[in-house]
Amino acid sequence: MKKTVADNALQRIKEEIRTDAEVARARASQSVRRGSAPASLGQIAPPRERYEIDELSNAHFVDFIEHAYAALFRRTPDSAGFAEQVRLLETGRSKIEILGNLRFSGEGRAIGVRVPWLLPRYLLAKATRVPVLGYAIEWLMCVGGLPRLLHHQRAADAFHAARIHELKNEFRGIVDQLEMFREDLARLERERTGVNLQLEQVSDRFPRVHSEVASAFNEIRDLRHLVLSMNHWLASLRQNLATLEAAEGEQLRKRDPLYSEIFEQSRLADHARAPRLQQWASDFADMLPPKAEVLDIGSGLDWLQFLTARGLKVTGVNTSNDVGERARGVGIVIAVAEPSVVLARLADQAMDAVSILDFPALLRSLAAPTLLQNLRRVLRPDGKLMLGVGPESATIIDALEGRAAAPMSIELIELTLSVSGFVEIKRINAPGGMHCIFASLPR
Amino acid sequence: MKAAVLIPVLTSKDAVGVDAIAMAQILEGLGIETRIFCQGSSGMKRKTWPVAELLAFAGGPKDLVIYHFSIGWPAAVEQLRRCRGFRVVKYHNITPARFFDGYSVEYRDACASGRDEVATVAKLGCELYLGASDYNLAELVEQGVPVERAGVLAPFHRVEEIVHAEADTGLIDALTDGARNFLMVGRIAPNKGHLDLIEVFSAYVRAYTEPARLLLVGKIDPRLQTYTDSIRQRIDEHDLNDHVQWINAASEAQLKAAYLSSHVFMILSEHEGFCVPLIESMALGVPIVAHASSAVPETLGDAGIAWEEKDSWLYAASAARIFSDDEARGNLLDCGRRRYQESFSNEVLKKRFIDFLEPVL
Repeated sequence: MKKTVADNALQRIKEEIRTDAEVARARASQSVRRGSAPASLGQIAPPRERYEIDELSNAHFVDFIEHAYAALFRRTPDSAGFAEQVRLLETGRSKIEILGNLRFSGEGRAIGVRVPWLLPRYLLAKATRVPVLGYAIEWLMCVGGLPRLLHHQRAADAFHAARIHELKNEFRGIVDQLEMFREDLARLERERTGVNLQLEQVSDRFPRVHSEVASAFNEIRDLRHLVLSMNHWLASLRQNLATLEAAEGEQLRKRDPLYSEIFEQSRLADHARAPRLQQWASDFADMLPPKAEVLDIGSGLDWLQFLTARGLKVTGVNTSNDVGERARGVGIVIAVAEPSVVLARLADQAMDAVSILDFPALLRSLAAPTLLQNLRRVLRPDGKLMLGVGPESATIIDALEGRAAAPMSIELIELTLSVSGFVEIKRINAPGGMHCIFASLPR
Repeated sequence: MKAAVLIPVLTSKDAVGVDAIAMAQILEGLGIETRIFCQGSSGMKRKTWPVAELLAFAGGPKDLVIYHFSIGWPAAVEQLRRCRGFRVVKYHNITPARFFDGYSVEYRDACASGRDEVATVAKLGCELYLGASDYNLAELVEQGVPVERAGVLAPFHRVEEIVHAEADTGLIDALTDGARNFLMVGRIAPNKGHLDLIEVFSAYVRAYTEPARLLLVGKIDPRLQTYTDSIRQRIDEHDLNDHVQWINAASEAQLKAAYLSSHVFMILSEHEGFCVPLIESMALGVPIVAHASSAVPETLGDAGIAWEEKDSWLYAASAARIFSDDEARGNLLDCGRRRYQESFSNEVLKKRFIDFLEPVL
């Protein structure tokens, strides 16, 4: 299975290479560019098959051994072999003998580098190792080689003299360097003294800094204590506020159905309300396109139902949970929330119309400039606004909570609308001091 | 029991010679007295014997004779016919003579006579016929060798020695200069596809902007000078002299340096009985792109990209893909190392070789 996967991968790569090949072919036919040439290596010669003895024996000591390995074995010396050859040199064996040892070893024979005249000289060198006879041979070689030895001696003297001269020069260079080092050392010593002085000054300042730090630490500790106390006090305050809010919430929950019931009773007692609202709803719907999207703020369930019956897509906003539940019960979309929050979340130009049956009551929680600014934003061009003014639900609540009824002039509302940019402002008067104002946004 | 290994010419670096020497060493390791019989040897410290003495040494019914068949050698065939022991023919294949048309009459005639001898050897009725590859064995079977006496045994090789040898560090330094190195290892002979390789390399240089170098590692044969000249001429025609580097008769250190410094091993050879450089590349971690001719696909397996077509752009794009796709290159190298270890390491081959000889050991 694994192999099949690998085969498939290779096959896929080959298919991709076919495509690459076509691209490369096209590219090459369209341009004259070429890959640049690499650096030239010159002629790479095959390894040398022949060396002269002098070539191999000219180098000294370690260089000699490394060169012999490179020439005869075509490799660098291994550590054991290298150590052995060094040992032989140090015990006075001749270079010829070492060259012969390497050349006529198994490895040397297998590689077969030719070194003319090495074999007889190697044998002669080996013969000097034979007891008694070897001694005689060595004597003969020494006597016979005396002129050559003298020649070597002179050459060696010259070599060593030159070497000593070089060493003297090198020594002088080292002495000069030492002098420079000595000067550097003196300079460093001077710098060290300066640094020590600075350290002493810092040490003198340290107790004072330490005392300041300790003082600051004490202040921080006191401050921390104060912060902790304040934190404790704030926590207590938060707890008390939460208790008060819970109590108020409970009161509101109890008040909500009560107000709702009173409002319903009041509404039932007002026999003119239903025909009045039906007429307003009809007039309002006539101003709007079919299935227009209407936002209603704070009106009762009956008004929402009248609008829905006219084929409008109504979304209500009310602060009463009770109204919200009942509206949802008859299939009307309604948000139980503060009108200011809902208006803030609505997108620009989201609605065709807005209705507010109890406009003065809404002004208690939302000032007219802010409300009208929001309404202008959420209404589409030519969007319609319906405002009711009269003793409706909120006004009843004001009365129940002992608040004085806010005196509101209908002319003032119309003037406010006009100043806020609304046009086609139209008033409908109803019996009982009820008024309805229709207005539009410019197209 | 005695064992004899027959080979026309024994040389230490030639693939057939390495195979013959390895077999002799394995037999000696098993405690069997073994001699190598040949017409001549080169670069060898091992003693060899003339083929005329074969019968006297290992002609008996309990003896083993292994003939490495890679070129025509009537004298060996005659000796083999007269041996009464367990006879093994290891067929390394013979380059078809047509490849040498126009290059060397001498080679052409030698190869032609060698291939003529395939039928004769196949009909000798030897106890075991081994092909270095299925491709080789199929030629023997076609000539009448019974399948039940036939088997495949890849040649023994010196890959482990190369892996452990010291590389020519100077050459590595020179070759690792940022250029993409294409490597071809193989003697400079007409069946090796050097001319097509130059076309491929030229396509790469034309289509891709990276600096590139072609390393031609292989022994230049003076008897095939016409072929060598035709390669040089092709290089001139494509203005690639600055891109092509010849390494003639490379030392082991140079060969290893070439493998270690190369980014792709590319071979467009048209006839290979096995192709040892492929397994050298696998072992030394060089991705392979090859022409799927003769035994090449069999040796390569899934360890490289092989094409049956000879469209130069396919090979150039393959190299470019290997250079740019780390994952694909890594997968090819993993496959190569695994294939080498599982199928071609000398340990694996030794076990297979001994299994083949099990009836006589």
